[in-house]
Amino acid sequence: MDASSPAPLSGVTAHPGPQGLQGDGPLRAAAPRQNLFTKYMVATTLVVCLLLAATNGTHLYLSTMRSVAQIEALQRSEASATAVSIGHAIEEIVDEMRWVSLPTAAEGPGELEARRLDFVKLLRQVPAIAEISWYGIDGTQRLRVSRVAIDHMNPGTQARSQPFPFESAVGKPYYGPVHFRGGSEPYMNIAVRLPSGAVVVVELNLNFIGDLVQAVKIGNAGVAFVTDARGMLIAHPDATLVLRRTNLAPTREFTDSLAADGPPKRERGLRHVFVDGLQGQPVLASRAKVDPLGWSVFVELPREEVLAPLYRAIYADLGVLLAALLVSVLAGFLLARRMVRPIRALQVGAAAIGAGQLDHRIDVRTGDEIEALASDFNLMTQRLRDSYATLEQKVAQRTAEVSDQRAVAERADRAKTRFLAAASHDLRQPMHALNLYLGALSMQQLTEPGRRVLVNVRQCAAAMSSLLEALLDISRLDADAMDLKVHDFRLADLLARLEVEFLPQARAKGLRLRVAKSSAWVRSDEAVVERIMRNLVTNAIRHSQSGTVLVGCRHVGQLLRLAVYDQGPGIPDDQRELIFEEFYQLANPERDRTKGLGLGLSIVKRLASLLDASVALKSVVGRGTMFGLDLARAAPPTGNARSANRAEPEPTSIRDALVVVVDDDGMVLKATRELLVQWGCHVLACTSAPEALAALASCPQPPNLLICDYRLPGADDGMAVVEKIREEFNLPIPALIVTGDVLPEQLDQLQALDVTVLHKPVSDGMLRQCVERMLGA
Amino acid sequence: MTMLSMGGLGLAAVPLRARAGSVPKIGILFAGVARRSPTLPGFYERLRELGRVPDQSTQIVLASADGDYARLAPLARELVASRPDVMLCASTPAVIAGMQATRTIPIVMVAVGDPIQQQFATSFAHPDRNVTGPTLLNTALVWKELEALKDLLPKAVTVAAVSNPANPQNGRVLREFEAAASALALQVLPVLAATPEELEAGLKSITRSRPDALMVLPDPFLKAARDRIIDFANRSALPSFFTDAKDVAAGGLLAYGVDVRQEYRRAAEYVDRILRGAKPADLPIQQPSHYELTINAATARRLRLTIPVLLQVRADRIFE
Repeated sequence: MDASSPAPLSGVTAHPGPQGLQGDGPLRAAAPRQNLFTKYMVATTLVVCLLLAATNGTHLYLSTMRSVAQIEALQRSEASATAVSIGHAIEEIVDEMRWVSLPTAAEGPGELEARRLDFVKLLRQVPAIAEISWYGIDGTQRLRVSRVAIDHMNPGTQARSQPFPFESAVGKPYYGPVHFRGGSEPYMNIAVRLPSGAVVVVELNLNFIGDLVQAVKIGNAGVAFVTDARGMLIAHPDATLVLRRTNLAPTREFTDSLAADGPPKRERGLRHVFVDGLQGQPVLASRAKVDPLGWSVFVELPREEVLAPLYRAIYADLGVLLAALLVSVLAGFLLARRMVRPIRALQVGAAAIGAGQLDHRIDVRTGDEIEALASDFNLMTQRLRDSYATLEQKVAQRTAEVSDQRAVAERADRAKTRFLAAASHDLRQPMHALNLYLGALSMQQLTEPGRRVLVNVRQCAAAMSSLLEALLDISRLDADAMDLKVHDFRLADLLARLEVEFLPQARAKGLRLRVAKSSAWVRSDEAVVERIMRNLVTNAIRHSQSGTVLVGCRHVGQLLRLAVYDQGPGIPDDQRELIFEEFYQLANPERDRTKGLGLGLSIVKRLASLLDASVALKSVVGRGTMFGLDLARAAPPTGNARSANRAEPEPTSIRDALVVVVDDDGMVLKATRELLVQWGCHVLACTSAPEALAALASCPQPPNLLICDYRLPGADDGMAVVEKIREEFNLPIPALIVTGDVLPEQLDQLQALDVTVLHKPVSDGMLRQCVERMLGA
Repeated sequence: MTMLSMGGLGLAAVPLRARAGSVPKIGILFAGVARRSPTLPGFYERLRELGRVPDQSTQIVLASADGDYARLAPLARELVASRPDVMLCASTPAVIAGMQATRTIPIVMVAVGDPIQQQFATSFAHPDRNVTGPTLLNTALVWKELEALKDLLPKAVTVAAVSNPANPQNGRVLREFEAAASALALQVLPVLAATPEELEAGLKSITRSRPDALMVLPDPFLKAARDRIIDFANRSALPSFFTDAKDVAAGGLLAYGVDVRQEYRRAAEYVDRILRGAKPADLPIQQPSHYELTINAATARRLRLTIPVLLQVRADRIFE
């Protein structure tokens, strides 16, 4: 998503897309932040538990309300039944009063005696009656029978205060207010006006109502009790509450007489069902009215007991909920595992495929979309694997083709190299012989035209020799035949040789060659450096038409630069890279082979890189060119190191020197011999070592110089010949090995043997110089 | 049950299997002879019914004065010193001794005539002191008893009233008795006896005076001497009147009063409630609601007396 887009929704950030689609980060699956398994499990468990809790909660509430209503109904019926039985008990007493007040047979004073007996019987019959009195029509007390006081039979005694309204209706009992004897025991007066106008009054001990309510059993702690119309407690299973004169008016409604018997006033909800009980604890209360008295019967059950089934149900439901939780967790676990497992397998498989394991197969057998997805994955992987296989096959094929082509090319290259080496060698022999013959010829007295021809022939031979040299170098480089022998050497010798070699050519072309003197020492391979310099000087002479070719050296930083200056046409800037390529020649479109093959600078470049030295080039078109080779400087050795290094032979005149020449090539042998004889040497020419030894056996003096071809027929090579002759005379006779071979190990041997090596073809001049130097002349 | 009564002046502690402290301790101060009491077992009986087994789940220390009220005060002090959780004081003299010994240890009274008059409590509904319990409230019953005497012996003129001067309540009852007697045109011959010697002297004086009847006022000492009195009365052909049906069963002629054994059962309920944490001041004093009239028909026959119809109807029980 780009930076200018609005803030992403949280859901989007919470679930980032595949990592592979994002710019940064490695291509791998993102680790999920939330576990699918846990999510499934929690969701399942939550759903099950919520459903259960909701169901159970509803069920609990409804069943509790129902149970409360049932208890309430039971309580009401108990209260009503108690009220009815209290009413009955009172009515029975009233009936007894009526019965005992029936007229007696006796008249006058006997009537009272008879009535007294009846009253005593009533006291026996009804223990609750504490006292019974008889009032005459005039309102005077005629008779009183008591359990405590002595019986009263005193007609005419006016009751000072009657415990009842005397004018009450006939037949309808009067219920006096509840009074508490001694301030404690509840009593009540009942008066009945008889048809005769007399009134019978009883004082009733209300204790017996306590026995009635004690019989009411509601639950374990449920109680029934009775109050009068004022709320005074008159009967309770715990009699002490009555004796203490408990008044319920503060906690119950007693002014509203209609409240009793009707359905209980309460709002919905458990909180409003309960009222304060006698002991202050909340109770479920029901109430019924005692009909004729205005009393109330209460039946109460403590809230704890009412709700006990609810609590039990809650505990049971909690247990069920817990079990359900366990079951749902288990179910969620199994379900989630069932769901998640194939998805996990998919995830793992996708990750494996992503990691490149294309042989991975996702094994999901759920028979649903996930299996379809898995098989799609597998199909995709299969296709990927197939295309991979095809691709690899093609790559292998191409690689094989390329390597075949390369092998062919390498074979061709090796063939070329072999050809070049062989050709160089084979060409070298006649070239070498030609040089020697030309040298010998130049010693002859020739006519002027003959001399001119000879000069021309020699030029042709020199050009050919140079071409051959270049080819040889290239072939040696191609054959990796160059082996560096790095050591400290002084430049003076090398410069001197260059001057000797190139002065004639320069003069012949009308150029001046100046070689500056130097006493500097460098560390490098002397032979390679010399070859580079010869190429550079040859190049300079070849491309200069006039002026001077200067060879010298100068310090460049820590290095010493061997430089060749010419005043030739110069090299354009755009050609400076090209001139180092093989067979590239400036200003030689006609490919004049007297101007060389165009290999010179390419050889220089390759040799310099072999030396790890750099070739400097400065050129101004029309003014001239400078080529420089930068070499590491070395300190000149102390003392006469050079003389110790190389033993100078006794100075021997080239004339009369005894030179042994060993060469299997008859042409070369003859040419060499011819040339040496021309130079005034005594020559012992042999084709092999045994022949040479045999010839030397008759020779009175040791030879002054050995000139040997390297490659000889038979077991011995040039080295062996030199060694044998030196052994024969037990003298370090100077030896010159002339070879057409270029193998490095042979060069090693040659150098170890302290011999001078010349590579064929060798010009007569070079051979002369070399011989002269070796003979110390 | 191993019930040890207090022999002499010593207080014998009751050995208990249960650990002290965790077991509630009930001290009993008994004015009469506890071991011969026909009513005290009612207390134990009810205690057992309430789950308090004496000497197992309840420790009981019994101090019996054996009718010698002079011993009540020191016994009460020793009893209080044994630190009971509640004390049962049987009869008015015992309650007086108990209240003098402690004002804090709850006292359950039993066989007490009038706790308000004796100032054991301020009211029936709210006793407001450390004393509560059932009351006999029997002072006024002498009226009813004399009424019965008059019904049974219409020609009676004098009646001897055996009373214990050491019992303050007996004084009140005696005064009430005299008032009732005068109302019923009877002469009272008071016989005061606080000791067996005094009792013998009194009985001799009765023999000399030859009253028409003999009434024994409710008192623990006189209760303990009941057999002697009944024997004396019957041998002297004196109709004897009591307040307890048990005395009639033992040979007395007539009794009107409260079932005292039942009162001891109710006292046990008070003790139980106090041991369960109730304060005595919060427990109202229960008044008796039922009085019973008992007549011994055999004694009546021996005395050649005819029980009138009214008394036959009124009598709750007639022993043959």
